[in-house]
Amino acid sequence: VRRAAALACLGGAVLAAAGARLPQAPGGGLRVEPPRAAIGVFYHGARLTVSGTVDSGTAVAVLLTGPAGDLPLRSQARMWGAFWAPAGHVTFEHVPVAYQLATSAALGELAPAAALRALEIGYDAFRPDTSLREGAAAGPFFPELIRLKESEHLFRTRIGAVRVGPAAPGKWSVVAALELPARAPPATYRVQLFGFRDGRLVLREEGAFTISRGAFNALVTRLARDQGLVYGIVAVVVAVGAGLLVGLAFGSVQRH
Amino acid sequence: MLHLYLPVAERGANLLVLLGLGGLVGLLSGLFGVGGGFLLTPLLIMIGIPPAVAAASDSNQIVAAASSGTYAHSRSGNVDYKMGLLLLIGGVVGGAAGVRLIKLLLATGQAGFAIRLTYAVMLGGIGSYMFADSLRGLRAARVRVPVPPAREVSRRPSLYARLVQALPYQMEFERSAVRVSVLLPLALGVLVGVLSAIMGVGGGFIMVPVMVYLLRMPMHVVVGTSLFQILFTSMNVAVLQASMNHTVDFLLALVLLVGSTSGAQLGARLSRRLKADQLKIMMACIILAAMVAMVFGLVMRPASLLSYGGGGA
Repeated sequence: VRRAAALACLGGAVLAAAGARLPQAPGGGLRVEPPRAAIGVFYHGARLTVSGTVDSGTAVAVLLTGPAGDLPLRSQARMWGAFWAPAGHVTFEHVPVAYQLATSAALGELAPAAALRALEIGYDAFRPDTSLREGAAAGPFFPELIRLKESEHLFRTRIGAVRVGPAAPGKWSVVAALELPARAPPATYRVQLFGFRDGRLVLREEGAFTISRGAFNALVTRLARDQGLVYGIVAVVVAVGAGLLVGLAFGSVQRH
Repeated sequence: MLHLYLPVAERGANLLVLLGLGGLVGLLSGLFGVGGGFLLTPLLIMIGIPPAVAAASDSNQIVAAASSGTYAHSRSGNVDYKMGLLLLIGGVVGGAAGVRLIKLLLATGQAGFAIRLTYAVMLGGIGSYMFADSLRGLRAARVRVPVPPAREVSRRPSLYARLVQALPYQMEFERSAVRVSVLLPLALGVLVGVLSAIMGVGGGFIMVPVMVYLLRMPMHVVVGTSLFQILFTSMNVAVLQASMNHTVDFLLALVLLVGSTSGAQLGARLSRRLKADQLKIMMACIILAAMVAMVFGLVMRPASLLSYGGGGA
């Protein structure tokens, strides 16, 4: 809580220092297409396009973040000098389920590091909030956390991935394509568009992207969780039926 | 690229890859009388399925492959139901004991590592012995030395054979053409049940060598009887996993079983065309390959030094 309060104060100070009255999502300035995705039978992740309009010469960052929470993990270490085995429990706090960042320029060109950290832009931004509840110092494990999340495609940072083009006199249109893997859980994800000029934040707009379960998916998940025994018996009966059916089919083919 | 979303695993997977994996494992199931869990579970983990879901859903698909294979083998008269039932009773008792053992290991936080290590040791031991034994058989056949069946060899019975003969409650198993004590299949069933629970598989890859080398059953009956025992063991495990851990992904199991049931039929037909030593040496190679993969996974540095907990093996 103290960290969050400190970050909020720092963020406020940075915004105050920016001295700009920031437009906050003025009636559809930021567009998220599609705004939602349903997890159907053939779902294999979501692709969304984030677009908006900024003043010419504005550097842009598009950030998608999922709900944050505690993340309990196991740390691995050498055992008997040969094998990798679980050595301890590690719990990270305030880790978003997904973090996708696309920018039009290198992070250092957008704004000073302190300002970016306050806006949670770049992995280092949430490092102070990502602390170890158990175990040693966070330092050695933080890169491993990023490595783990990147290997699952839940975390991604792409510099120069925001396309910028002329829209109207003095205006640029910005477009970023983001992808969430199928393992990104059903939730409402926060989508933000930041504009920077001369190292100062001049624009901040916000939208949302929602992933929800489709009807079949919701039914199977509910049955598996709430009616485990019935679900298990049905699964076994279907398996035996399928096995015998194929056996009979092959048997009849053999007879003919 | 046809993808499928797996509702319990909560991630996507390529449909053709899943069908291919199911088909391959089904082929092995029909060919060697193994459920294929020892091979399919690591393969599913490799394509990104969480270990707990992979093992539980694998049990469910093994039910389909084993029922298909048991049906095919029972039509050929290759199932010794009397022996299978005794092994099954032992297996259920051993399975319950094994589950308790796993609970103890989980409490110490080393269950996954212990399971992997058990895999490596068991696969290495069984595979090496089976490979060497089959190689001896093949060499003997190549030099055309008449090799009489093991039971007809006129030599002093081994210590193991004398011990087995001394056991009480001897029973004739007509289908397998062996006479052993009822206690032997019951005890072996318990042993296999314990190992099956620890390793989270049907247990065919342990059961087959046990029946061949310790019960001295003929190979063609071993395959059918092993599948019969695996069928009921896997049914028990799948229902328990679904009701207690909620880790059976029905859709995943369904796709896998479509491939595996077809593969099992092909395997059963193919097994009739191959000689016993050829079958055994092929099985030994597969077991040794799985052992190498397991050791590799234990020794190589993981991509990240952090992993999700609670995934079991």
